[in-house]
Amino acid sequence: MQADVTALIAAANGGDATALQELFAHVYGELKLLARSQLARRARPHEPTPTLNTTGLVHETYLKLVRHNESALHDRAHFFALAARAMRQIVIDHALGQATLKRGGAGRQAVDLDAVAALAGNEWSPDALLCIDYALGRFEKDEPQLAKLVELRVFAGLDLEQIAALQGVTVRTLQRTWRQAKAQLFLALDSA
Amino acid sequence: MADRTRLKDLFDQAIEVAPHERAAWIAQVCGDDAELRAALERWLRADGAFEDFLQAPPAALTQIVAAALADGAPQRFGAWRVLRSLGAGGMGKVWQAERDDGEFEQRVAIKQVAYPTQALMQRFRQERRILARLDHPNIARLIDGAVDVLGVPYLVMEFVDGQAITAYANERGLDPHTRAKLFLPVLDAVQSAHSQLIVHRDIKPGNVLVDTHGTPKLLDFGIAKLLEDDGGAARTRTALRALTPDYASPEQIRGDAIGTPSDIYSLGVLLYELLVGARPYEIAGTSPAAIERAVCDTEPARPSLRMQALGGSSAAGARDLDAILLKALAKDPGHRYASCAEFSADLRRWLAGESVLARVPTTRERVQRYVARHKLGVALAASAVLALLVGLATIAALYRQSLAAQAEAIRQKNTAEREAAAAKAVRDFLDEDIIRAASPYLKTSAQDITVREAIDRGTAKIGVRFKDQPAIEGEIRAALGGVYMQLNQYAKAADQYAASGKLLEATLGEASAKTRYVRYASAVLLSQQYQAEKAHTLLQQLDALAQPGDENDAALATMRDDAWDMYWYRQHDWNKEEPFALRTIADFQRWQPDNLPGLAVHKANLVILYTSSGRLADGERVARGIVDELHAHGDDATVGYGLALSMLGRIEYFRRDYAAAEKTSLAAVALLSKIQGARSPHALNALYIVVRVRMDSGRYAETLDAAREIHASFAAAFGEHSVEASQNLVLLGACEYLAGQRDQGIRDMQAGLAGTVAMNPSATDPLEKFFVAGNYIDYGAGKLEAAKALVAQLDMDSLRGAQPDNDWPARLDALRGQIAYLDGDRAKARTLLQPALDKMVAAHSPVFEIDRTRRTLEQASAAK
Repeated sequence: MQADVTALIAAANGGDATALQELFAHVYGELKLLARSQLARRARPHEPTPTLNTTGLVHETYLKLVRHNESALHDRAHFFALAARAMRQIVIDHALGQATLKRGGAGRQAVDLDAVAALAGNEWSPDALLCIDYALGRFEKDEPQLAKLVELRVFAGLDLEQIAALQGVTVRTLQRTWRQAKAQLFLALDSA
Repeated sequence: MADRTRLKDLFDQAIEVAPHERAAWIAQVCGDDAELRAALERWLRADGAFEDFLQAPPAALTQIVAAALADGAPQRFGAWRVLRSLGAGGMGKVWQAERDDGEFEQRVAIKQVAYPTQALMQRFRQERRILARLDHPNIARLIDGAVDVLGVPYLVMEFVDGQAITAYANERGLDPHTRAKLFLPVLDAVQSAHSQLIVHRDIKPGNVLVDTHGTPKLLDFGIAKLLEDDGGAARTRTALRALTPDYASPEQIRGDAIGTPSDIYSLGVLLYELLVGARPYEIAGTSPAAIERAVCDTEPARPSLRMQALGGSSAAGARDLDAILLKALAKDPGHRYASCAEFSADLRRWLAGESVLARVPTTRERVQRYVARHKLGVALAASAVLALLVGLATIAALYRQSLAAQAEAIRQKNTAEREAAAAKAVRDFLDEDIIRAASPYLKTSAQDITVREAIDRGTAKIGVRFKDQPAIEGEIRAALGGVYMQLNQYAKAADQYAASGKLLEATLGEASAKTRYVRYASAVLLSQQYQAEKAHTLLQQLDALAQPGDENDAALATMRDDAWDMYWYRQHDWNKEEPFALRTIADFQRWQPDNLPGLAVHKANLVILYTSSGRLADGERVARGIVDELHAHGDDATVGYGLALSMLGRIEYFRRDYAAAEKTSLAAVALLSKIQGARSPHALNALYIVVRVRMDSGRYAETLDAAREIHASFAAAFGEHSVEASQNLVLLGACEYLAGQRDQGIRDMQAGLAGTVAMNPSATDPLEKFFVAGNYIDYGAGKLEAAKALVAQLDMDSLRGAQPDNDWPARLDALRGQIAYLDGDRAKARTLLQPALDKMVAAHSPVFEIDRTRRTLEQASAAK
């Protein structure tokens, strides 16, 4: 298993798209697995509502998959980007499953304006995440860096300081980039 | 696309600039690059809109992500072990489970919402206690409720092993009476919950199961409310998405407040489906607009017409059952049964063969409800649509009557089918071709479809819709003629009445009252369109077909007398017109005794007649009567009220009370614009008086905009070369001339005058000739001969007929005196001008006419 991952990472770094996909599948599976065990550990009656530490989860996944291969994966930032992408996939698959029940699977195409308003006010729902996914799809080709930043913040739960450390930029710089990303996100939502 | 790198660079800089300095900063850095500037401004707006977005990751987001990561069937809920999934619905998931602690064996259903909110958690705790109190043999009990490991609440309910009530009844082939009896415990159960103010909100076959003992049980009482997300704006969407729209009440679909009447409606749909085998309406599509249209607008078909057999029930029995179901299914909660107990009592009466309390609403009530429901969509021309709806409802009623008469030899079932078909054709036309097209929810583009367009489109489909029903087509076209008349679209009205007249003549005969009614309406329009000879010929033809009983037909009498009224009005023969104007009012009162706004319109015609013939006191008396009467009945937002105001303004103008005239006329303009649109002829006629007031009191510059508006609107409505457009081009020219645009004014006056003469010499108002002559004389030189010709055509009678001013002799003498001066006859000029000036000053004649008279007199009196 460990060897497989090492090989995959090497191939992915070499530009092998299939390897990247397989690596992605590993991250995806590992994230789900770790999340369940994390929740199960807290599953005791009358305990206050447990909240999953998504950032911790990503770190845990990183450690588990890559710990012994630090030389192979030089760039932690790449891994976190990959994990954020996997988290996005997991969340969207799940939300779509819900949405399919509600409105015949049309959820992904429709971004409604109410949801945009809800997002601006930090009201979160599966629909809101579907909207973000859709909006990201609209601008990630033109602005891959900005889209990645949104992914890291929304789906991997990283804050700006963590991301700044990860990417080796100052928080101040990242704050400016974040404002650009937010504006792009809003425009993509608004023009849908 | 502006250069992205530069854009991002500027964006970074812009957010550092203080907001109040930003506009200037942007203007400076963008310079002439409008594209860059627009893009930058868009970015900054987006930045502002998303200012707070994700400042800190909210708990709700983490929870959703956590739930997604942990997705998968739970093994257990507290002491309950999951046996299998029972399915997933809009609200969440359902599992079957059993007690796991070995205490006792019990099977339960566990329901869980997908994503809880804070508000839901709070309500969950409150409602759980209330729901636990619900104890009724026909209601599945709430056993337990708690939160799972993720903090998501779940409910443990009594598990009912059964099938949906509809499937149960169908599988056993139950007859209608047995089905109704099966439904009674359901009503009792809901009544019991309602008495504790618990509303179900989601009654549907899947929630009304019949268990293995044949006992109906209601599931999920109050769950819909408990699980409903109340995220403010999200409420409507949630309601729409989460509920089964087939059984939802109109108020639920609209997202309005929900109470016990909502359940009564859903029970009505369920009982309808149980008895008829189909739901009252089909929802075509999943869009909110489609759902809203079906639930809020579609009148259910009468159930008895759709039922195979009523188990030997009598005609009265069928009617009573219709009444029960339609009452439960009333769109307005206030029209439904006040309680399930009443609903149940009526159903029991029906089962016992007794007469029920509910009754089928009359056609008129249905139409009124329909109109009330469509206020939003039809506000633009509510009166016109009301006319159409009443017209169509009348048609449907008439058609049913005639069918009933013919039906003696035909089997009852056959009649019912034909009746249903006829009613359906009319209803479809109304719903699909007109109302649906006008619905604000069905905009096909950014452009609104107006009621006018909707009616135009509907009209275009009549031929197909009523292909083999010439009698109905004739009636519909007559109704549309009336609608177009109210919309002031006279050419279209004339087309519809003409087509209707032909159809009715062919099907009912030329002597039929209905045929003659429609053809009299055609005569009104012929006169209206200045086709005096044709109108006269038609009127005489129709009068020759008169029958002894005609006076008893108030509708026919109204149209006949109105047609003659219009004819003599266009002839300016006030003496001949007056009796017809009075008779039309009396006819209409007999025809529609409660229709005060309609009556006011006919009375306004009398005011116009009195005013035109100089009987200002009579005109004022009638106009004030209209205003007072309508005001007393709260009908002051009606066309009749606006017309009366408009005429009062005109009377004040004729009395040269300029201040009052302007005020009253502006009020009339505002009201009529609101009701009929800013460019409706009635509003423009009131605006015309405003223009005249300003012109006559010397405020020339203030006339121009309004005069242009009037001309352009009439040109748009009636055509560039119509009499109406030409007359108002003369007015515009006069305003321009007086405001100092002399050459333009002369050109417009000349063109306008030529236009009226070309269209119809008899329609050329002496007033226009008088205006033009006065301005031509003032212009002098090349226009003097034309002015002389015009003055020669003017006489006192026709001037008085056009406008009842007492100073016409003096003003005409003033024109003649000015001509004499220009011809060099100074003595004659002085003889005419001096007395004319004295009288005009005393009479407060238009200031420019006084000025011109005085100036010419001074010139004629000056030493040579």
